[in-house]
Formats: sequence, structure tokens, C-alpha cells
Amino acid sequence: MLKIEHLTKRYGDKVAVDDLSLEIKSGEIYGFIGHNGAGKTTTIKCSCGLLEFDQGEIYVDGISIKENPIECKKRLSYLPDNPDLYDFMPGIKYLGFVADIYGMDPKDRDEQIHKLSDMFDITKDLAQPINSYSHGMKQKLALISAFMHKPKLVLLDEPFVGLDPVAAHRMKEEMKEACKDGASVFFSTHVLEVAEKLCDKIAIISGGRLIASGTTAEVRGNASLEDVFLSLEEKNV
Amino acid sequence: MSKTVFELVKIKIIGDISSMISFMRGRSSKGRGFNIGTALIIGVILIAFGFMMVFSFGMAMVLGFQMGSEGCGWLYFPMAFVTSGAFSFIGTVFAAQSYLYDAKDNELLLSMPIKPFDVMMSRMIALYLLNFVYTNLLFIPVGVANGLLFGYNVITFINFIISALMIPMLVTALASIIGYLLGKLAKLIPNKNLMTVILGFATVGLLSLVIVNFGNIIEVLMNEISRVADWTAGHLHILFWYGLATSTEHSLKALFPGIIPILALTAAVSAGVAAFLSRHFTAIVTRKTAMKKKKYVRKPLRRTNIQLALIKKEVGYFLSLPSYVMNAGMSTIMAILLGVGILLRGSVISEWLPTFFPDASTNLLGLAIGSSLALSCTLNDVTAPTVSLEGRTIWILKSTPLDPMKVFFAKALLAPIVCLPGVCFTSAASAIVLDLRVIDVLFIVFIPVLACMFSGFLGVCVNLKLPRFDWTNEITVIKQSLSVIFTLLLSMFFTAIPFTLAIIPSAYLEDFSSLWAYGICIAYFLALVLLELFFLATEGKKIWKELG
Repeated sequence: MLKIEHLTKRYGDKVAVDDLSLEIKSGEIYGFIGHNGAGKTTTIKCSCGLLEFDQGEIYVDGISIKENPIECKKRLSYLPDNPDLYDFMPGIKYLGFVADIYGMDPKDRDEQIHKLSDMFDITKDLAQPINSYSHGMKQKLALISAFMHKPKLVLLDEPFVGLDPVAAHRMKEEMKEACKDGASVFFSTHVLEVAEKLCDKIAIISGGRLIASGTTAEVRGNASLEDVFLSLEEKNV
Repeated sequence: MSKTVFELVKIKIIGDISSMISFMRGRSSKGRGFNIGTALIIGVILIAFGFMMVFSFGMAMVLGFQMGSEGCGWLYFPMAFVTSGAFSFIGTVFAAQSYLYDAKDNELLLSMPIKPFDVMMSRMIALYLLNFVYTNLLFIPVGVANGLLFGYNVITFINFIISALMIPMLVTALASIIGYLLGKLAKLIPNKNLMTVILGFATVGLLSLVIVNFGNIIEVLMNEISRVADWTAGHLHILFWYGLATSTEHSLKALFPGIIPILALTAAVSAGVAAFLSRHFTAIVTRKTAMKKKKYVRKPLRRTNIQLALIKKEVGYFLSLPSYVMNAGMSTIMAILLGVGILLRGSVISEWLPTFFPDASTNLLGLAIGSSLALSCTLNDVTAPTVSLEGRTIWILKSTPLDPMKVFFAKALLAPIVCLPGVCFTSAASAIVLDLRVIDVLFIVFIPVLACMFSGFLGVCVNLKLPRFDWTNEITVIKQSLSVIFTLLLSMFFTAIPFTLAIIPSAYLEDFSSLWAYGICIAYFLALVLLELFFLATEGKKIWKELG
């Protein structure tokens, strides 16, 4: 579903991502781990067509993001680490706006919005303007907008930040359900326990380079993910 | 006062200046183009300041001369005191709200080991400095004129210096407390945005009325100066004695009764306001108003096509910001005023034009009204900050399957949407009052819409070249960005060209049909819009890819 081939992205002289290759297949939950500034956000932003890159190729469902970004974006949804939304809109209008952009049919959007807003427990707040929402509520609204149009690929940057335990649990369930329906989820996180329990596969990035990847069991071996991550980081330094 | 206060004032001033300079520039501070842009804006600001000072000097000379000749020279400084104080108050009453109570770092500073009084005082000193500039834009030229008209002695000169320092202090205290009361009042009003827009336009309307009637006001003032002086002496003793203390003739005799009460009044008001605010400062800045919760009612959601959804989003953003509405809505107000003028004085205009251009072979009315309307529409800079306003939400448009041209169109269409009410009203007024042909009415409707399309697309093009995403308050991109100023100047310049080209031959050539004039204008704007579309489809798309 997502194929990253030799991705290199520079900001001026600084190499943010260096020759990174990854493949995420349909139905997989793929965790992306790395310290601050390792290149996780840059990789995700390049994968959803938000950032241009210097070298390499990225394919979404076999379509090049460079050649045909709009077709790729129809198949994916992206959620940044700190989702700023249109504060002047009520929550329901924002969801309606996103549904219009993805051309969702009226019945589908109605069902999906209410199913997900009930799940994240913000239905009663949907008429309120977004500027009255707390950080967690904004995160929930952004998650609904990311999942409601049933994308084939979901790219999430630190999706658990700001969520309460119940919402975090429900989001994990939603990620699993989306994958059961054939979608793929690629997300970055600092919470190693979540990655360990939730992900089918894990990739570890350091200094813009991929230092480990594979199934969670392969990467972890007999140790905990935290030990593996720390020792790989130390070696890389 | 503690060292912390001065540190905080320093931080505030440096922050304000660097943010202003940064927003005057475009995306980068490098490159010659941006330096030229910054220089251009600084030049415009200096010209505006210079104009105000020269204007104030001229008025002071005229009025001062009249006062002197009618034996009431003592009224000169009291009048300057009230005028410059009022001007400064109007300029800073809303700034008081943002400087004192809505400052983004208030909570951060209050969480640190800094006394609330110090935080508040630093805000009030910064506000005082702003007031000092506003007040003395008028007051210093008045002082210079006084030197030329009446001369100074040591006492009057010291009194002048005291006044220059004291007026902004009094205004700061009053603006701070009125700003606090306005903030409280605003929380009681259900539709705050609408009320702000109405009040804003009412203020602009009132100021326009004063400016339009300025000549009459000055004439009445000059004719009635003795009566004004008598009334002031009889009713406003504090100003009368202040006047005597600042006039060379009576300065020594009136020194204490003239200056001391006014100094005492300023000190008492300032101290009272400072004491009240410092006592309640933490509570004021951390208070949250409970918003009435709107109940969500489940109902089927309507589907809209992408282009319309994007347009609705742009219109929604526009209407949500009163400062944005007031800034861009001026074009609509101007267009409506033109319509009102036609309704009230239409016959005068239709008689006046042929007298002024006796050789005109054709009816110039359509061209004159259409061009005036189009020019008033160019005051509309609504699209110039639209790209920058995406700010930290730009990821939404960029990560969704949207053709950038659809985004550009939605932004550009905001200009004709905002102008349309004014254009329709004036066109209807022209059709009703003036004896116009159908083709003239069509021109009056069509050409301002085309001019709006041109200025709308121009705003998007310029903003793509000069975007700013690092703002913390929308007002900075709406009012202070280079993109807005460039768009305004360029659209006025380019809109004036075809009308000049069309009006001259229409007015002076016997065989020049108005249809030719209309054709020239329409072809010109269509060509410009096509050029803008070409830019957006090529360069614009490339820039959009790199944004964010």
C-alpha cells in the first residue's frame, strides 16, 4: 500500500531523511519509532505529499506521489502531530467540509461521522465551534476526519498525544478494524509499549537513516522494544 | 519600579518592532526585493506620519492666528490638549485590550515569580509609549506653531514639555479602564463579531463624516472662536487655567492654578486605574467566560461540490474575523456610498458631466460610474492574506486530494463575493435614477465584477509570492503584511489605466463610441485575469507545493 524507495530529503545542508526504504502492505499496522528530530515527521509528510523530496520515490497503492499526487491523496489520510483545525467552524461543519473534499456520499458520511463521533464521545460537542475545543477534543475530531472516508492508507504522526485513555483505546480498536478491512496504518510514536502491543511491523529511524525494520517479533527478539531501541540508538551515536 | 518592569517593557517593544518588520517582509528576509518592499512600507508610514504632522501644523497656524487676533490665544493649548488626547484615545482604546488583557504571554508571566503589578505596569508603560507617539504626532507640530505665533518663555516651554508627557499618561489610564469595560461589555453581547463590525463601521462612518465636513467645522470654529472661548472659560475652569498657564501673557500668574490641578488630575486618574487594575489583574486576565453550549441535533448532512465547499470555507473564515471584515469591507461601503450619492444627487451628476466634457460624442455616465465603482472595488484587499491565513492549518488543504487551482479560485472569488452587494446596489440605483441604456447598466455591473476578479486573483498571486505562516494573531497578516500593501497599490494602479485610456478619447473624440470604451476596459481586464490564471497554473502551483 505504501512503498518508500531510497527517500532522501534535505533542509538546506541538513539531511533529514537519508536513503530510506520501507514497504507497508495492506492490512498492516506499521509503527515508526525514533528520537526527536530523527526524521519521522519528514518521512510521513513526504509520504502524504505534503513535502517535496530530493531523491527516491514514494508509491501509494502503486501510484507515484510525485507523478500523481491527487490520486494518491484520494487513497490516504494524514494526521499531523498537533492538528490545527479551522477554529472558526463548528466541529460538524469541519467534518462536512472534509467529507465534501473526499466526495463522500450523504448516507455514508452521515453513518461514519456519527459512528466515529459516538465512539470518541464528542457527538454532543459537534455544534460547538472548534475554538472552544480542548486539545484532546481537537485530536478526536481530526481522527474522525482521518478515518471517516475509509482511506486505504492512514498516516498518523504521534496520534496518541492528548488523548485520554478511553479515546486512546478506542483509536487502537479503530486502527485494527480499518486494517481488517484491508487498509494500512503507518504511525509514528514515542510510546514504545503501544508500538510493541499494537504493531505488526516496526521501523526504527535515527539521524534520518533506517536502522531496523521488520515484524515486531523480529525487531524485538528476546528483549523488550525499549532495550532494543536504546541499544540501537547507542550504537548509532 | 522594579528592574523587571523595564525588562518586560524592553521585551515587548523589541518584540513588537521585530514582528512588525518581519511581517512587512515576505517569506524570507534575504534578497534585494524584500529590502525594497520593507523600505517601501517604511516610506509609506513616514509619509503618513509626515502628512499628519504637516496637517496638524497647518491647522494650528490657522486656528492659532484666529485665536490670537480675537484675543483668546489662551484657548490654543487647551484645544490642542483635547484634540491630540482624543486622537490618541481613539487610536489606542482597542490596543489597550490586546496590550493589557489579551496578551498571549500574560499567563506565562503570571506563573513565574513576577509580581502581577510588575506585569501590569510593563503593559501600561508600553501602552504609554504608543500613546506618546500618537499624541505627539499632533502635539509637537502644535508646539512649533505656537512658537511661531505666540513665542515661548521659560514657563510656557516647560508647560509644553509637561503637557507632551502628561497627555499620553492620562490617555493611557483612560484607555486601560475603558478597554477593560469594553472587554466586560463584549462578553455580555451574544453576537460579538457582528457587534464589533457594526461599531467599527459606525466609527469609520463618523470619522468619514468629520473628514467630509472638516472645512465646515473649521469655518464654524473660526467664526465662533470667541464664543467657544467664553464657554470654556465659564464651564471648564481647569482647561481655562491650563490655557492661561500655557500662554506667555499670564503664564506666571496662572502657573500653579493652571498646571497643578491638571497634573493632579492626571496623577489621580493614573494611580486610581493602576491601583484598581493591579488588584484585579490576575483575575481579569485569567477569567474564562462560560460559553453557552449549542446543542447538537442530528440531521442529514448535505453534500456540496468541492469548489463550493472551498468557497464556503473562505467566506466562513472571512466572516469570523471582524478586523478582516472591516479591512476588506471598505470597498463595499465605498460602493454603497456611491450608490447613495447617485440616488440623492443623480440628476446633478448627469447634468454636470456634459458641461465638463462638452465635446463628448457619447453618454459618459456609464463609463464614469462603472470606472468609479471598479476603482472603489480595488480597495478590496480581501484575498491578499488568504494564503498566509492558512497558517498552521495548511496541512488540511495540502494533504487532501485537491487541485491547487480549485483552492486558488475559492480564495480569489472572495473578492467579487464581498464587493457584489455594493455593485448591485449602485447598479440598481444608477438604472433607476439615471437615464441609462441597457448596455450601460450591463457595463456598470460587469466591469466592477471583472475588476474584482482581477484584484482577487492578484491578491492570491502576490500572497503566494509573499506568504507568512509564523503569525500568532490573524490581524498581523490582514493589516501589516507586505502582500496586502502590494496588492492594494498594484490593483489600484492597474485598474486606473484602462479607464484613463477609455475616458480621454470618449470625452474628446467626436466619433468615439462608448461601446469602444467598454470594449477596451473589458478586454483589458480579461487579459489581466488570463495572465494571472496562467501564473497560478504554472508558478503558483509550484509555490503551493513548497508551502507549509
